Amino acid sequence: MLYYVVRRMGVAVGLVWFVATFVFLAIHLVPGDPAELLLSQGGVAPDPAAVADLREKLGLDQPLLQQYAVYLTALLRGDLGTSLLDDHPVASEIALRLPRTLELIGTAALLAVAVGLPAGTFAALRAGTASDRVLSTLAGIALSIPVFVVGTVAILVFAQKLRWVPAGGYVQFGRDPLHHLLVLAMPASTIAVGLGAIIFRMTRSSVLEVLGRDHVRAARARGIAPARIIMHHVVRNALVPVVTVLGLHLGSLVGGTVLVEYVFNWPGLSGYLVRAVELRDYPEVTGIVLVISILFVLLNLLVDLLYAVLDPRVRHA
Amino acid sequence: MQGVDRIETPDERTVRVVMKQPTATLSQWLASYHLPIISRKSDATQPIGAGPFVLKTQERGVALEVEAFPKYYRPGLPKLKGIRAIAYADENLRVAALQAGDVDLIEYVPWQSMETISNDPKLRLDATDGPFMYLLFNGTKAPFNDARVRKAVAHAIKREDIVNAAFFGRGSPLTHLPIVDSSEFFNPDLKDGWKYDLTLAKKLLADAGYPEGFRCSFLSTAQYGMHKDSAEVVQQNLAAIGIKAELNLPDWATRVTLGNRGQYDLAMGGTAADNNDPDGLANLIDGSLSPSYVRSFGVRLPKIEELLKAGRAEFDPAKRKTIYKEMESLAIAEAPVVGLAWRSQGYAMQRDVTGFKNLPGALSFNSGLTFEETAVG
Repeated sequence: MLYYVVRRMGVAVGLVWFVATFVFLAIHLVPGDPAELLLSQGGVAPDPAAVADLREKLGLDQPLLQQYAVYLTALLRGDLGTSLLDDHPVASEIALRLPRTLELIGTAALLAVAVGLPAGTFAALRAGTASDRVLSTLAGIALSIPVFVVGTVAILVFAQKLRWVPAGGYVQFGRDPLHHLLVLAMPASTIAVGLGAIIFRMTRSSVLEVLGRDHVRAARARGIAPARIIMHHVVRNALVPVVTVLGLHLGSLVGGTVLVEYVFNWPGLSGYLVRAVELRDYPEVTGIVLVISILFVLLNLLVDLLYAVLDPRVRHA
Repeated sequence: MQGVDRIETPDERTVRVVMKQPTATLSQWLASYHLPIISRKSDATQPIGAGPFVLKTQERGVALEVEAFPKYYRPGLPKLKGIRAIAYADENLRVAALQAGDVDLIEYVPWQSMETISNDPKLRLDATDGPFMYLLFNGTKAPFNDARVRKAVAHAIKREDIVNAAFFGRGSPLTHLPIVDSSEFFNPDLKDGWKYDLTLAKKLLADAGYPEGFRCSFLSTAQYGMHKDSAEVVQQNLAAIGIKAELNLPDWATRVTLGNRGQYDLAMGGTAADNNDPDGLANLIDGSLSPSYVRSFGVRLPKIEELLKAGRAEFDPAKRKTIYKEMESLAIAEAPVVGLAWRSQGYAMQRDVTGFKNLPGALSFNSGLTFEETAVG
């Protein structure tokens, strides 16, 4: 088991190094010069001497290999660098914004599970009936509507017409807890629509599959109460693939909530990344992508280790 | 401010800025947002100026809060206790926030929402023509090194289509240099200098040796809808005189780099001047300045450069008027850039917001100066 864990950790570190290098190269190779852009804000035509000075100050005049060496050395010390725009430390900005994105995703996941899991179980138990077909159709629709459509319609209905909630934005929890939850509700629900549909489908097929297994038939034959069979023998076994799918989706959501963050003006990590790319703020881009990829790798590692715990065969593979 | 030679302080209440060359526009620059007068005791987080508000809190990328300065030098002002400025990246959400009553005032009203806001009894729209769209050329190679070809392009564009397609009718055609008609430097007899005239455009193109037109690259950006939509209209219009322009629509950062390097034949530009003085046009048409994405690449017109220099050094308003009139008529003939459309720049607010005013023309972006008179309710 220890050897398995060590090997997996080694692969994880290698993956993170690969991502760091790839992102560094990619963002530097894309045309667009941060020094030029910084001095061109608001349609200004900067003086070439000023641009050259800034490039030198930011170290952008160095050969790419040398910049890479500097970047990697700093990274080994755990230093993500500072923003080219205002010298603000990238790590502290990520520390500020990552929890907001995680909060958004976490709330969305809770909502999605709260709706998707019971609905999926219900649909599986009544497979083929009208209620199953209605639920499955709804899930299909929920899956196929893009988040920005759900978000925009939600704003139109709940903020502009009914005026129940503010039209997006962000308020710190400490400043006004109720307002904080109010502005969290809409973006979280928007993500939960698609995620809930995924969980619904996964639960439905998984429960259906488990229902047909021998141990369930045996439990029925022993005369165990149906409710107990469903809770203890079916749903528990059906949960494994659902948890896996949820874990992977949460990982991709860390960097993939950009549309929702944009539509609702939620100051999380994704929106920050897009702005950093637009401004070619190299340290910000590499720092954010690195953190996202580390989270993703960690999540996968966790899933892998979970498999190993659940299934001894994996350990020796 | 590289034109400053030295700054003297002969007594307690006098500052003398000595320029290397006579600069008629210095007072305009000193009034600019970009040149605040601050105390030497300021630091990066707390600038000390003479304004009506002081910075209270700052959440990077989220919001900024200021509160009234009780010892402001104008008694009774500011009327507001404070302002919370919230960043809304999405223009539609900005409008939604205003309509939902989350905010009292928004800037940069998207053109497609101006109609709805004007019709809303609870809201008020204050819009002015300020920024503009224009075309830039690469003058270092054929075909746009020939003024006749540039002028042919100028006469081939149906500008109403740009105003309608890109700005939902919120703007106006620009058939001369971007000098607003409320300016004392506006020249009424030159205002139709580049008016739509297909016959003239075809004739100019034939005179230049391209009776059948030609192919060229056309740089714009897909990042901003107005740049993309305007470019598409221009592309269609040019096809009518045989110019097949191939659109290149990278993101803005790439657009800036390609523009600075002159990697295009024809390019779409969009900007606003810093102030309403015609000297601001030098930024767009003075080919002696360094290459920039806001100027045509390598279009050198010595006479225009000379006139711009003369206008900057002249302090007599009447003489300046004559200089800039001559400069504009030359520019219309040589087309260093080509004006396309003014775009409406709007602020929208709740009905009970008073005292806030959208400043005219290029000053629109400085309208925050009227916050000292602004009140709610």
